[in-house]
Amino acid sequence: MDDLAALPSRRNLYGCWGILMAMTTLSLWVGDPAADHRRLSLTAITALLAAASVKASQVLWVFLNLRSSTLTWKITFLAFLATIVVLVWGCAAIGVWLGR
Amino acid sequence: MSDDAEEHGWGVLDSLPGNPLMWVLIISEMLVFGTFFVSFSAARILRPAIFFESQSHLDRVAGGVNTMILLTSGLAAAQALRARGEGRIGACRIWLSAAAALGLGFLGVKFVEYADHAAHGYSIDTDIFFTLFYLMTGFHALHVVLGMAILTIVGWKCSFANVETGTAFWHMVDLIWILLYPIVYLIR
Repeated sequence: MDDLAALPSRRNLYGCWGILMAMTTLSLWVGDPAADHRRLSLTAITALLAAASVKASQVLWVFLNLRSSTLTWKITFLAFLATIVVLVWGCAAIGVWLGR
Repeated sequence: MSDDAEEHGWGVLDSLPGNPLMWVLIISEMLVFGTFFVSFSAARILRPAIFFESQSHLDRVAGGVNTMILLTSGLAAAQALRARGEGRIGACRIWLSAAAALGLGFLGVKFVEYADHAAHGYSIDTDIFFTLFYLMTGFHALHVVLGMAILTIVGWKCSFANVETGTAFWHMVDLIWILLYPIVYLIR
Protein backbone atom coordinates (compact mmCIF):
# COMPACT_ATOMS: atom_id res chain seq x y z
CA MET A 1 0.00 0.00 0.00
CA ASP A 2 2.99 2.30 0.63
CA ASP A 3 4.02 1.66 -2.99
CA LEU A 4 0.57 2.69 -4.18
CA ALA A 5 0.42 5.83 -2.03
CA ALA A 6 3.67 7.09 -3.58
CA LEU A 7 2.39 6.70 -7.15
CA PRO A 8 0.56 9.43 -9.09
CA SER A 9 -3.21 9.06 -9.10
CA ARG A 10 -5.13 8.03 -12.23
CA ARG A 11 -6.37 11.59 -12.50
CA ASN A 12 -2.77 12.84 -12.48
CA LEU A 13 -1.77 10.30 -15.13
CA TYR A 14 -4.61 11.24 -17.50
CA GLY A 15 -4.03 14.94 -16.80
CA CYS A 16 -0.34 14.51 -17.68
CA TRP A 17 -1.24 12.63 -20.87
CA GLY A 18 -3.67 15.43 -21.82
CA ILE A 19 -0.92 18.03 -21.41
CA LEU A 20 1.48 15.90 -23.48
CA MET A 21 -1.04 15.54 -26.31
CA ALA A 22 -1.90 19.25 -26.23
CA MET A 23 1.80 20.24 -26.36
CA THR A 24 2.41 17.82 -29.25
CA THR A 25 -0.53 19.30 -31.17
CA LEU A 26 0.83 22.78 -30.47
CA SER A 27 4.27 21.70 -31.74
CA LEU A 28 2.76 20.37 -34.96
CA TRP A 29 0.89 23.64 -35.46
CA VAL A 30 3.90 25.86 -34.71
CA GLY A 31 6.24 23.58 -36.70
CA ASP A 32 3.97 24.03 -39.72
CA PRO A 33 4.64 20.61 -41.31
CA ALA A 34 3.09 21.58 -44.66
CA ALA A 35 5.56 24.42 -45.25
CA ASP A 36 8.65 22.45 -46.31
CA HIS A 37 10.55 25.41 -47.68
CA ARG A 38 9.85 27.98 -45.01
CA ARG A 39 12.30 28.63 -42.21
CA LEU A 40 10.90 29.08 -38.71
CA SER A 41 11.29 32.33 -36.81
CA LEU A 42 13.21 32.37 -33.53
CA THR A 43 9.87 32.89 -31.78
CA ALA A 44 8.50 29.68 -33.30
CA ILE A 45 11.70 27.78 -32.42
CA THR A 46 11.46 29.10 -28.85
CA ALA A 47 7.83 27.93 -28.65
CA LEU A 48 8.78 24.46 -29.94
CA LEU A 49 11.56 24.06 -27.38
CA ALA A 50 9.33 25.43 -24.60
CA ALA A 51 6.64 22.87 -25.49
CA ALA A 52 9.27 20.08 -25.50
CA SER A 53 10.53 21.27 -22.11
CA VAL A 54 7.02 21.17 -20.63
CA LYS A 55 6.53 17.65 -22.03
CA ALA A 56 9.88 16.35 -20.77
CA SER A 57 9.22 17.88 -17.32
CA GLN A 58 5.79 16.21 -17.20
CA VAL A 59 7.28 12.79 -18.05
CA LEU A 60 9.96 13.22 -15.38
CA TRP A 61 7.54 14.60 -12.82
CA VAL A 62 4.51 12.32 -13.26
CA PHE A 63 5.38 9.21 -15.30
CA LEU A 64 8.83 8.78 -13.71
CA ASN A 65 7.42 10.07 -10.40
CA LEU A 66 10.30 12.46 -9.74
CA ARG A 67 7.82 14.57 -7.72
CA SER A 68 8.21 12.07 -4.86
CA SER A 69 11.98 12.63 -4.73
CA THR A 70 14.02 15.27 -2.88
CA LEU A 71 14.19 18.92 -3.90
CA THR A 72 17.87 18.48 -4.84
CA TRP A 73 17.08 15.75 -7.38
CA LYS A 74 14.14 17.72 -8.78
CA ILE A 75 16.35 20.76 -9.31
CA THR A 76 19.20 18.62 -10.71
CA PHE A 77 17.05 16.96 -13.38
CA LEU A 78 15.23 20.15 -14.35
CA ALA A 79 18.57 22.01 -14.56
CA PHE A 80 20.03 19.19 -16.69
CA LEU A 81 17.05 19.35 -19.03
CA ALA A 82 17.21 23.16 -19.15
CA THR A 83 20.92 23.01 -20.04
CA ILE A 84 20.28 20.78 -23.07
CA VAL A 85 17.35 22.93 -24.25
CA VAL A 86 19.22 26.21 -23.78
CA LEU A 87 22.25 24.90 -25.73
CA VAL A 88 20.01 23.75 -28.60
CA TRP A 89 18.16 27.09 -28.52
CA GLY A 90 21.51 28.93 -28.53
CA CYS A 91 22.63 27.07 -31.67
CA ALA A 92 19.29 27.85 -33.35
CA ALA A 93 19.59 31.53 -32.35
CA ILE A 94 23.10 31.70 -33.82
CA GLY A 95 21.72 30.16 -37.02
CA VAL A 96 19.00 32.82 -37.20
CA TRP A 97 21.49 35.57 -36.42
CA LEU A 98 23.84 34.39 -39.19
CA GLY A 99 20.90 34.33 -41.58
CA ARG A 100 21.51 30.57 -42.03
CA MET B 1 20.81 -5.47 8.72
CA SER B 2 20.87 -6.75 5.16
CA ASP B 3 17.44 -5.18 4.50
CA ASP B 4 18.78 -1.93 5.82
CA ALA B 5 21.82 -2.21 3.57
CA GLU B 6 19.60 -2.94 0.57
CA GLU B 7 17.39 0.04 1.30
CA HIS B 8 20.16 2.53 2.01
CA GLY B 9 23.15 1.31 0.01
CA TRP B 10 22.94 3.81 -2.87
CA GLY B 11 23.63 7.06 -1.06
CA VAL B 12 21.87 10.05 -2.60
CA LEU B 13 20.29 7.80 -5.26
CA ASP B 14 18.12 6.20 -2.55
CA SER B 15 15.90 9.27 -2.52
CA LEU B 16 14.87 8.67 -6.17
CA PRO B 17 11.75 6.56 -6.79
CA GLY B 18 12.35 2.97 -7.96
CA ASN B 19 15.60 1.21 -8.81
CA PRO B 20 18.65 3.52 -8.40
CA LEU B 21 20.49 1.77 -11.25
CA MET B 22 17.69 2.72 -13.64
CA TRP B 23 18.21 6.37 -12.67
CA VAL B 24 21.94 6.00 -13.37
CA LEU B 25 20.94 4.71 -16.82
CA ILE B 26 18.46 7.59 -17.30
CA ILE B 27 21.16 10.15 -16.43
CA SER B 28 23.63 8.40 -18.77
CA GLU B 29 21.14 8.32 -21.65
CA MET B 30 20.26 11.98 -21.12
CA LEU B 31 23.98 12.78 -21.34
CA VAL B 32 24.48 10.71 -24.52
CA PHE B 33 21.40 12.00 -26.34
CA GLY B 34 21.93 15.53 -24.98
CA THR B 35 25.37 15.47 -26.64
CA PHE B 36 23.76 14.19 -29.84
CA PHE B 37 21.18 17.00 -29.82
CA VAL B 38 23.70 19.76 -29.21
CA SER B 39 26.09 18.31 -31.84
CA PHE B 40 23.23 18.07 -34.35
CA SER B 41 22.27 21.70 -33.64
CA ALA B 42 25.90 22.84 -33.97
CA ALA B 43 26.27 20.94 -37.27
CA ARG B 44 23.18 22.80 -38.54
CA ILE B 45 25.04 26.11 -38.02
CA LEU B 46 28.01 24.80 -40.06
CA ARG B 47 25.97 23.26 -42.94
CA PRO B 48 22.71 25.25 -43.04
CA ALA B 49 21.89 24.63 -46.70
CA ILE B 50 22.36 20.85 -46.49
CA PHE B 51 20.29 20.63 -43.31
CA PHE B 52 17.49 22.77 -44.78
CA GLU B 53 17.28 20.80 -48.01
CA SER B 54 17.57 17.32 -46.48
CA GLN B 55 15.23 18.05 -43.57
CA SER B 56 12.49 19.03 -46.02
CA HIS B 57 12.29 15.34 -47.04
CA LEU B 58 11.26 14.22 -43.54
CA ASP B 59 7.62 13.44 -42.83
CA ARG B 60 6.92 15.84 -39.95
CA VAL B 61 3.33 14.65 -39.49
CA ALA B 62 4.50 11.01 -39.20
CA GLY B 63 6.97 12.17 -36.56
CA GLY B 64 4.13 13.91 -34.70
CA VAL B 65 1.91 10.83 -34.92
CA ASN B 66 4.80 8.75 -33.55
CA THR B 67 5.19 11.21 -30.68
CA MET B 68 1.53 10.74 -29.76
CA ILE B 69 1.84 6.94 -30.05
CA LEU B 70 4.87 6.84 -27.76
CA LEU B 71 3.37 9.21 -25.20
CA THR B 72 0.18 7.14 -25.09
CA SER B 73 2.30 4.03 -24.54
CA GLY B 74 3.90 5.91 -21.63
CA LEU B 75 0.44 6.43 -20.13
CA ALA B 76 -0.25 2.68 -20.52
CA ALA B 77 3.06 1.86 -18.78
CA ALA B 78 2.24 4.22 -15.90
CA GLN B 79 -1.22 2.63 -15.59
CA ALA B 80 0.45 -0.81 -15.50
CA LEU B 81 2.55 0.23 -12.50
CA ARG B 82 -0.48 1.67 -10.74
CA ALA B 83 -2.47 -1.53 -11.41
CA ARG B 84 0.43 -3.59 -9.98
CA GLY B 85 0.50 -1.33 -6.91
CA GLU B 86 -3.21 -2.09 -6.43
CA GLY B 87 -2.46 -5.82 -6.67
CA ARG B 88 -4.30 -6.20 -10.01
CA ILE B 89 -1.74 -8.33 -11.81
CA GLY B 90 -4.01 -9.18 -14.78
CA ALA B 91 -4.74 -5.50 -15.42
CA CYS B 92 -1.03 -4.73 -15.05
CA ARG B 93 -0.18 -7.26 -17.77
CA ILE B 94 -2.86 -5.88 -20.08
CA TRP B 95 -1.50 -2.34 -19.68
CA LEU B 96 2.06 -3.58 -20.25
CA SER B 97 0.91 -5.38 -23.41
CA ALA B 98 -0.80 -2.20 -24.60
CA ALA B 99 2.41 -0.21 -24.01
CA ALA B 100 4.48 -2.77 -25.95
CA ALA B 101 1.89 -2.92 -28.77
CA LEU B 102 2.03 0.88 -29.12
CA GLY B 103 5.82 0.57 -29.19
CA LEU B 104 5.40 -1.82 -32.11
CA GLY B 105 3.14 0.77 -33.78
CA PHE B 106 5.88 3.37 -33.32
CA LEU B 107 8.40 1.05 -35.00
CA GLY B 108 5.91 0.39 -37.83
CA VAL B 109 5.62 4.12 -38.60
CA LYS B 110 9.40 4.42 -38.36
CA PHE B 111 9.85 1.50 -40.77
CA VAL B 112 7.51 3.11 -43.32
CA GLU B 113 9.44 6.37 -42.94
CA TYR B 114 12.83 4.64 -43.45
CA ALA B 115 11.47 2.68 -46.44
CA ASP B 116 10.25 5.91 -48.04
CA HIS B 117 13.66 7.54 -47.58
CA ALA B 118 15.39 4.45 -49.01
CA ALA B 119 13.04 4.48 -52.02
CA HIS B 120 14.06 8.08 -52.71
CA GLY B 121 17.76 7.27 -52.32
CA TYR B 122 18.37 8.89 -48.94
CA SER B 123 20.74 6.71 -46.94
CA ILE B 124 23.13 7.18 -44.02
CA ASP B 125 25.82 8.16 -46.56
CA THR B 126 23.77 10.84 -48.35
CA ASP B 127 24.97 13.81 -46.30
CA ILE B 128 25.73 14.97 -42.75
CA PHE B 129 22.04 15.52 -42.02
CA PHE B 130 20.97 12.01 -42.95
CA THR B 131 24.00 10.49 -41.19
CA LEU B 132 22.97 12.17 -37.92
CA PHE B 133 19.27 11.50 -38.60
CA TYR B 134 19.80 7.75 -39.01
CA LEU B 135 22.24 7.55 -36.10
CA MET B 136 19.94 9.33 -33.65
CA THR B 137 16.58 7.89 -34.72
CA GLY B 138 18.12 4.42 -35.25
CA PHE B 139 19.74 4.43 -31.81
CA HIS B 140 16.44 5.55 -30.32
CA ALA B 141 14.56 2.82 -32.23
CA LEU B 142 16.96 0.25 -30.73
CA HIS B 143 15.96 1.53 -27.31
CA VAL B 144 12.30 1.03 -28.25
CA VAL B 145 13.02 -2.59 -29.24
CA LEU B 146 14.93 -3.15 -25.98
CA GLY B 147 12.12 -1.46 -24.03
CA MET B 148 9.52 -3.77 -25.59
CA ALA B 149 11.63 -6.78 -24.58
CA ILE B 150 11.92 -5.41 -21.02
CA LEU B 151 8.14 -4.77 -20.82
CA THR B 152 7.56 -8.36 -21.93
CA ILE B 153 9.95 -9.73 -19.30
CA VAL B 154 8.49 -7.66 -16.44
CA GLY B 155 5.00 -8.70 -17.56
CA TRP B 156 6.14 -12.28 -17.00
CA LYS B 157 8.09 -11.67 -13.76
CA CYS B 158 5.47 -9.24 -12.55
CA SER B 159 6.70 -7.99 -9.14
CA PHE B 160 6.12 -4.33 -8.25
CA ALA B 161 9.87 -3.61 -8.29
CA ASN B 162 10.31 -5.23 -11.73
CA VAL B 163 7.37 -3.35 -13.24
CA GLU B 164 8.60 -0.08 -11.72
CA THR B 165 12.08 -0.61 -13.21
CA GLY B 166 10.80 -1.74 -16.62
CA THR B 167 8.33 1.11 -16.99
CA ALA B 168 11.02 3.63 -15.91
CA PHE B 169 13.12 2.47 -18.88
CA TRP B 170 10.10 2.94 -21.15
CA HIS B 171 9.49 6.48 -19.86
CA MET B 172 13.16 7.27 -20.54
CA VAL B 173 12.61 6.23 -24.17
CA ASP B 174 9.62 8.66 -24.23
CA LEU B 175 11.73 11.40 -22.73
CA ILE B 176 14.41 11.12 -25.42
CA TRP B 177 11.89 11.17 -28.28
CA ILE B 178 10.15 14.24 -26.82
CA LEU B 179 13.38 16.21 -27.34
CA LEU B 180 14.44 14.46 -30.54
CA TYR B 181 11.23 15.21 -32.46
CA PRO B 182 11.31 19.03 -32.48
CA ILE B 183 15.11 19.22 -32.82
CA VAL B 184 15.39 16.84 -35.78
CA TYR B 185 12.01 17.18 -37.52
CA LEU B 186 10.65 20.64 -36.84
CA ILE B 187 13.33 23.26 -36.16
CA ARG B 188 14.58 24.69 -39.46
